[in-house]
Amino acid sequence: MTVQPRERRIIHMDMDAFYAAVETLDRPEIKGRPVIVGGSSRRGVVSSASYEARAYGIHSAQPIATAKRLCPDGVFLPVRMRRYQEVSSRIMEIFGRFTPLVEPVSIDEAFLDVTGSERLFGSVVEIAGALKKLVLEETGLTVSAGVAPNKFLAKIASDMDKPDGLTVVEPGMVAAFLDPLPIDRLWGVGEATRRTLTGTLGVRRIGDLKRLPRGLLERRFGKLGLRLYDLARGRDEREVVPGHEVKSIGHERTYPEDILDPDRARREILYLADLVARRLRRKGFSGKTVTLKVKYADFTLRTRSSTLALGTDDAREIYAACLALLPRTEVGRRPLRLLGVSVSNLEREMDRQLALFQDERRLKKRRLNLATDRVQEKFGDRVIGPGSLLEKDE
Amino acid sequence: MEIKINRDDLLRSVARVQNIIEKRSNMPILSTVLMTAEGSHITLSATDLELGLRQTLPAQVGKEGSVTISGRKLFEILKESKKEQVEIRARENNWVHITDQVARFNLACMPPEDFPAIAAPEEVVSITLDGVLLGEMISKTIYAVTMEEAGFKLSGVFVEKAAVEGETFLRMVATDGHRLSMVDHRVPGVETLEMGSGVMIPKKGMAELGKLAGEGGEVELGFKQNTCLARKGDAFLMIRLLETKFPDYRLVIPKEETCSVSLDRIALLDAMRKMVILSNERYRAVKVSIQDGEMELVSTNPDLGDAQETMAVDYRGDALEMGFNARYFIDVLQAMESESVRLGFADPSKPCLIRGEADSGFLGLIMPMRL
Repeated sequence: MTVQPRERRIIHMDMDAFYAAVETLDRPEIKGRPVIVGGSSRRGVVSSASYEARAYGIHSAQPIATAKRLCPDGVFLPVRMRRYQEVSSRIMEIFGRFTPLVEPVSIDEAFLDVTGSERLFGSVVEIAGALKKLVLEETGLTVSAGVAPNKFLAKIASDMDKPDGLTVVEPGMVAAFLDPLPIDRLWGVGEATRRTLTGTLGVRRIGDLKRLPRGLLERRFGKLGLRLYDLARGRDEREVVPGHEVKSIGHERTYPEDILDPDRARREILYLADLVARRLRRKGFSGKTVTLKVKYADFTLRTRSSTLALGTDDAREIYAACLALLPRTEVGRRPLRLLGVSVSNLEREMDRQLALFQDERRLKKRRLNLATDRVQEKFGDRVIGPGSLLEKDE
Repeated sequence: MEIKINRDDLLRSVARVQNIIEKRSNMPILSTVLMTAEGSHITLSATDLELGLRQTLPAQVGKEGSVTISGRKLFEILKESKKEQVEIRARENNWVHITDQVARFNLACMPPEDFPAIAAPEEVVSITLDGVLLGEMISKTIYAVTMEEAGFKLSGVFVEKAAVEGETFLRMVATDGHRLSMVDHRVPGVETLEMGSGVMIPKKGMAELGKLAGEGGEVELGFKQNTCLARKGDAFLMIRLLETKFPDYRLVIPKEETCSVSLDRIALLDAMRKMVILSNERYRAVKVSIQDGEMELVSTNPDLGDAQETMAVDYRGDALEMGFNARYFIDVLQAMESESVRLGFADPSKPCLIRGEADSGFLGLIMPMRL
């Protein structure tokens, strides 16, 4: 007797030009114009570009400077992550109405396993259509959907007909769908692998790849080769894993010019620590491990961590932990282009383990932090904060 | 320098001083052992700048003088030799020649003048105490030391003279902010020690002192100028003390208990070990419920399931329910010796007290967790 593998119904939902779309939604006057969202500094890159902007050859990860050259009249806007997060959680909530198996991949895309939902909500294609309609009605945003028997195919499908698309890969149509696609659509095929495949083995399309024996792929590419063998045949057994637990909370910045001055570096760290602490408090976490990340001007990356006895969500404590890590870096002696601060080893509540020594200062600080958070929520981030950061805003 | 020495004796001494040597030091000299020949003996010294150990042993000295040798290499050479005696000779330009008449080693070494001097303060008031007893005090406290950073300085064992009912005891206390261990012992002459209102001995130094003392015999112990000095036989240990920022632990010891139960130590230890099977970083709490004649332990981990065990106790009174990190119980119960232990509880915001008949002078405290 053979066991028939359960046929799955997977949907990949991918928001269309998400950040740019949210900005257009919030400022109807820029509708129809090329909108580019990205880092505002000289070294910033494009995070998201509207379809109007893409017509100028602008795409994400492109330096902002290049985008400005390509489209001088574009609407260039800074990233407002908090706002996108807010819209994103509303969208994820809509997805959750049809199945508990929602796996957010990033802020603007998610996999849904609706195998068990068809009896309740109709066919998978009807569910995908209903999701698109609800997202548009409730948020005003369009989303592209890919429907397929697994995650790999669903992800490719959602990208086929952007924006506002709905692409279905029927189980019997997998080969017809995949074979004509270029090989760099496969997960794991970067520039180097593509060059080997095309240059040495003459493989350009996924259909060509299917002609290569499994053993050859394994010898050439190891584990990746085996995966390519399966993917080329549309096979992908990975489950949709709901939840996606938060493991760390952090923030980093790339600076417009390299930083050598240690005082300046310390101020930037304080600024990052303050942001991270506020996000920890907003999400109700405290964390015990503080990590400082430094990218030097030559792009070498170093991270240094230390673990505290008690979990913290306080900017000063995070800052102090980072300062203690500084001697283990070359900050102040070697120019750096990026600093990052993150807190991991997260605990859900503040100190579930009670402490023997009640630190009065700690309790007072906590009350102060919560009060500051409320002021900032009401009047904005800039009205209150660490004094040493004041000159930043000049 | 030129010596002949018994290989076994030297190996044992090198093994001892080796512990102190920094494995990954940015000062290469700290990975070496200083060997000084004088009269009819040699002295081995090792230091990590916070901690220094000197060991003297008899040798046939052909020519007095000093050399430094990589501690690791010297240890390996001695370990691999099968002969009874080895010869060590200093050569020009800091080369050191070692031979057991079978193999010959020539080692490029560093000049002995570069070795940091371990300056011992003079005229130190010291007392003599039983090594086994000192070792016991250390092993009953050191497990609670934390190297994690906190507002207080907790990376060592706090040692002080404590007056209890008109008598002066030698007291050691260690805490990581969540649990605490404290042990008192009557030691003749303790009131003469120059240790102010208490000293902090760092964990590494305390561990070395514990090893030295644990071998038995009498240990001389004294304090002076931010240094702890200990001598046992031919070994001399110097520990630089930590700055004391130890919290006022006396305030957190509950004055009274509302519930107290006696349990078999090993049975409770085993039960806690079983509870730990289902705990992890996120779910560490074991629920301890006590009611008429019964103590129940429950560990729940939403990802895995739950575990439960019930033990009979001699308690009659109001029911009580609290959460604890089972690992803290395992640590303290392992360090104790008594057959039966007594747990005392006050309320869910106060620590549990742990005592045992045969662990005289010992008190363990464990703070609960919110359930």
